[in-house]
Amino acid sequence: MFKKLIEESTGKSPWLFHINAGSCNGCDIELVSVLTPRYDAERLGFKLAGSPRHADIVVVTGPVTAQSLPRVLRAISQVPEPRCIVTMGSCPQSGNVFRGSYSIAGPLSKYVHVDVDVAGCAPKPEAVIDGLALATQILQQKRREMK
Amino acid sequence: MCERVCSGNAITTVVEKTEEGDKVTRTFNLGSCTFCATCMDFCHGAIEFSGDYHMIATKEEDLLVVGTHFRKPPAKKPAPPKPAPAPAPDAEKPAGEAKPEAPAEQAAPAVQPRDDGKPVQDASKCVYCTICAKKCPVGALEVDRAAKTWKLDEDLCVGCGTCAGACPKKCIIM
Repeated sequence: MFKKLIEESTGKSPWLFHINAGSCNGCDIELVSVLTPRYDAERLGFKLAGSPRHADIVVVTGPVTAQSLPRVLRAISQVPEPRCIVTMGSCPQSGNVFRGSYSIAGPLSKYVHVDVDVAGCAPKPEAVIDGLALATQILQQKRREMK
Repeated sequence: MCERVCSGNAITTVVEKTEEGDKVTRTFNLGSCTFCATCMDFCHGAIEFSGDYHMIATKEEDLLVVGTHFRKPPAKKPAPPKPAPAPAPDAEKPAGEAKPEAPAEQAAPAVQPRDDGKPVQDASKCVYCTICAKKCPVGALEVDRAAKTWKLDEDLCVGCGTCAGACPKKCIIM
């Protein structure tokens, strides 16, 4: 009974953990606007978690600087399986305008498996919600595969 | 040009030689794009923004947009009759300029613009008047009239194009 409850509820309410890996703050602001009443992803169950241990979906913004890389990887490793990693904006996917800099360790996909890429600089909130919805589907699929 | 102005290095170009001319394939990586539209401004009408912002992908390949066009042979034909400038870039090579470009230019005699947006000298036209060196705001150019050398300090050059604008012979290519 509990398992069924967990399965249903987690599918409906995936918790997000947001990691800023050296972002310019553009994507961070967009993510906040996704979660706050204007776009209100919380009505769909998305909730920003304060700790990676509570999260199902990790949203990474920023080009993954050399300084932030070990912290990012540690935070991601603290997220319990099944987890879904979403990159937000162009930076974590490619480095964007920061590509080639000595201080950039990215792209993120070099270090961890990235499930969903939301492109844009910064992505529109609609696109972010789209990406999170896709992440939820992937999450449920992973959860089924884990059993 | 679009490739050179792209701040996120999102544009890559592959040129294949075919009978119809050069087949130019440009790949736009939307995962590296800042959507600044500078490429659109520099390209006269061939690049357009779709306005579609739902760019969600689970694989990186999904974010690539590819476009192909043919560079027509007539554009290339006027080039072969003037192989004369070809030895000239060789002569300029000891001056320490255009290292990576020089081998590529042997196919196309006219001096090709560099990939990084910095100036290249067309040695066949240059009169070594030193105006470019005087106008350069960062002092990246060193021109010797007597020795006929034109030297670019690539670390200092910011690619502003002032030298190309100031050149009376229009021999600096950006």
